[in-house]
Amino acid sequence: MVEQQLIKIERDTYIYRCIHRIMEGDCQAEHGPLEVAVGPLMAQKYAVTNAMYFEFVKESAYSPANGRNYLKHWKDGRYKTGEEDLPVVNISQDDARAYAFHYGMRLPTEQEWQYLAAGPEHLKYPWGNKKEYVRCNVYGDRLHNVDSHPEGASVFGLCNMCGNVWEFTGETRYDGERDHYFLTLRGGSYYTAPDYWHAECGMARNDCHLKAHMLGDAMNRFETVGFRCVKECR
Amino acid sequence: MTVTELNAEEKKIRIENSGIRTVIDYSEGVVFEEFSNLPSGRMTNRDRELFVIEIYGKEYTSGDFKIESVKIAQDKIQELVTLSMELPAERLKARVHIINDRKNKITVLYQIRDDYKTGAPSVSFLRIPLLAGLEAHNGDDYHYYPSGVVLTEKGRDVMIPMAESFHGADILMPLVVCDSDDRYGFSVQFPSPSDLNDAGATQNANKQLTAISCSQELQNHRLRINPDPSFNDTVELCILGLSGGWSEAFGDCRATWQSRYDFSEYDRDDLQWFSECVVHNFVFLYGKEGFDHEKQKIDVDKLLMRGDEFGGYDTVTIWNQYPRLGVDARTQWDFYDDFPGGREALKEAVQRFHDRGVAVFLPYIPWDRGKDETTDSMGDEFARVIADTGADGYQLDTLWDLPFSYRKKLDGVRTGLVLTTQHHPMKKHPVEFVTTSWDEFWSFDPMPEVDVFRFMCPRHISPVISRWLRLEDKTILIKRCEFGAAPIVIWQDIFGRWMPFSEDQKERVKRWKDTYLKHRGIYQGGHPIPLYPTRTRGVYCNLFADDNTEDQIYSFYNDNEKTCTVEKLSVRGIYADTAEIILGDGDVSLGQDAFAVRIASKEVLHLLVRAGRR
Repeated sequence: MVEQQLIKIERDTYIYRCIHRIMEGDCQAEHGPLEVAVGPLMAQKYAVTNAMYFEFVKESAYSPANGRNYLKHWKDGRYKTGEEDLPVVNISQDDARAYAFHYGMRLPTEQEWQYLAAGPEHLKYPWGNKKEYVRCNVYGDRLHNVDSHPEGASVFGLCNMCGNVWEFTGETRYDGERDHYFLTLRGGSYYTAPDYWHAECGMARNDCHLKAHMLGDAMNRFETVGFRCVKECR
Repeated sequence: MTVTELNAEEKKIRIENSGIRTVIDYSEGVVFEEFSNLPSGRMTNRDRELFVIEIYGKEYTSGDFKIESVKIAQDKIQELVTLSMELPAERLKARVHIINDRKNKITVLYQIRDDYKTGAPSVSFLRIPLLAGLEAHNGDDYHYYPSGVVLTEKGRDVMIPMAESFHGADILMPLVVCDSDDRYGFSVQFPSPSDLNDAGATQNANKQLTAISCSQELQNHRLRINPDPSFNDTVELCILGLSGGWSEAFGDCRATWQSRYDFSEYDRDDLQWFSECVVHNFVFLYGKEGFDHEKQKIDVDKLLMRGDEFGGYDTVTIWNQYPRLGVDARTQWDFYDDFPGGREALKEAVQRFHDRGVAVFLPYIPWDRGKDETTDSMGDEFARVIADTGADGYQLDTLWDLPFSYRKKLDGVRTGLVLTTQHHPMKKHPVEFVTTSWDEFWSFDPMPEVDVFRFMCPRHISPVISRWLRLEDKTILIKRCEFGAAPIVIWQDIFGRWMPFSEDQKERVKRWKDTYLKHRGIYQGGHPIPLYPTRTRGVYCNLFADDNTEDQIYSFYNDNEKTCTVEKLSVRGIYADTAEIILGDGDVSLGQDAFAVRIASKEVLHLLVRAGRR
């Protein structure tokens, strides 16, 4: 079973700029360019797995108020055999936050996530600037273990920041008066939706996020979105 | 009286009906000696070659062909003259048929046969001099070109075609040439067997003629033709002799087009409710316009309270799909389940809308097909969602068509369910069973555009919508509804970008709804005329008439920078008893069979003319 590891990220500043990919309606988040500071942090090397989340539930007795779609791929309150090291999915951002909070951590901000993936060199992909499909799980048919594709790790050694599962970041976006709540997801996933009009798939660049409107817990739990945590440190 | 006479000695054929007289002279070469509008009493279009053909780098006129035979035939309906000719040197043959309907139309049908002199088909072109120089009277003639029906001062066509890409619809405008009194002249329709815009798709080259947009293109037309070793239709000109100008021409074009269609679906009593709807709402449920995020439920009261500012929403389209789809494998059907409270919550909301007299449309997303879904299984889901929620129909995203089986599956749920495609249906069968669609346009400067389908198929109600217009442009959107006498879709939350109407605009929509409903019988009459000639520069007019009372509404738009007066506009076909401005500001004075009307700059004005008794 995969053991989670924390990797130290030293304090740094960088010019953050993010692009969004959405067909219509735009994204009302801040996209920069901005000079931002990151760290120092301890960042999880892997996305949180089913087994890790199972331990959390066991320890905390966490149960969301609206359980629709919550861990819907589990059976009888437990992940299926052989899926222990797959990233946990079918959890909402709040479900992810609960996990992080339980362990004294939090979800990374977008600015942090982008730095964890791109490093100080502004790499397009965690491993470098070239598209190399063997280094990640995209255009696939299933999730891979969180420690797969070590050759695709970021400069800090974080695995699967591109592909496998999209990842939540800490922000819940809110555009004020009109009351739209939305998330911005990072990293892309294995899943390929069949149509041009669907949300864009494939290898998401480090500086790219996907806007996902929020509408209740069931809608907001995805089969392709997981998370990793960070921890404040000195 | 209809006459087709052959004078074998003089080698002339006279073909005549109540609208047209033409004489073909084949004594030396072969020409139209005349092609005249009979009621006008004028002799026009003198000595025109039948055709000119280019092949193997040479040009030949019909006079270069040797006439093999001239035959006349008739039956109970028609008279037919056929001239058969050949050009042996190039292994070309031609048959020119003149078909007299014994009423007011003459069809000139060209059939070119190429026996491939080199063994392979060669590039060849055809030109019709009669068409190139078609005149009603003289240099004061008015022309309505098939792809340039009425041009603005800036040269933009006001009549928006059905499609702009590789394929089009079978709604094709005629070439109309009228005298300056908008009375006598000709309307030429170009029947086309294919909707493909590809010039090589069929032997019939008429599609190219429907692309003509100006006098230069007409005069210099040069049709790329596709003859083979058979006599197929190459060009067909269905020519109507006009006595009622543009209105008669458009009406005839519409009648010809409609005659091929079965509109029985439009007669269904259970679908009539949509015709009484004027203000439609499109609500993006991810915002708070129609959703209470704290209570996690559709906020019917709040949405409809907002609708009251527009005069009240008659329908709402609840949108909970795109652009969220595709992050994972959940489909649109899953989204109905995963929506807060699931289908039961949607059902409750639909019932609350119904309690307030508002119909509900749900989205159908044809491109969102799960990996195990088939056309048939999607149709089952399509019907099931309606059954589960009690909604009143579908807004058919991106579509101008739908598998007909879906209509049948909906009918199996219950009656009264309406289909609305995002785009106008364009092919025959979809037009027949998709009874409503959006008139969605993308121009930011749409006035004084006219949606041709609204006038060709007036029973197909099409609310006007344009999603990206901003404050100033939204006023133009409302004007476009008023000018074309169409309902409107209020869409303010465009996939997360909030773009509201102003208070003034809400008031204007409200006024328009009141006016539309008060005179719905006129606006929804079966024989509206687009672009009724005003003979006043920059002033455009659409004419609507009640099928029963014959009362009329003239919808004007003044595109000039200054207030403008239409000095003398003929009332069409009725004795005008009264004339009253019912929308917009201006003045009107009614005389005998004509009126004068003053319209403010860039404004719409509707004039109600009550029919009296002669």
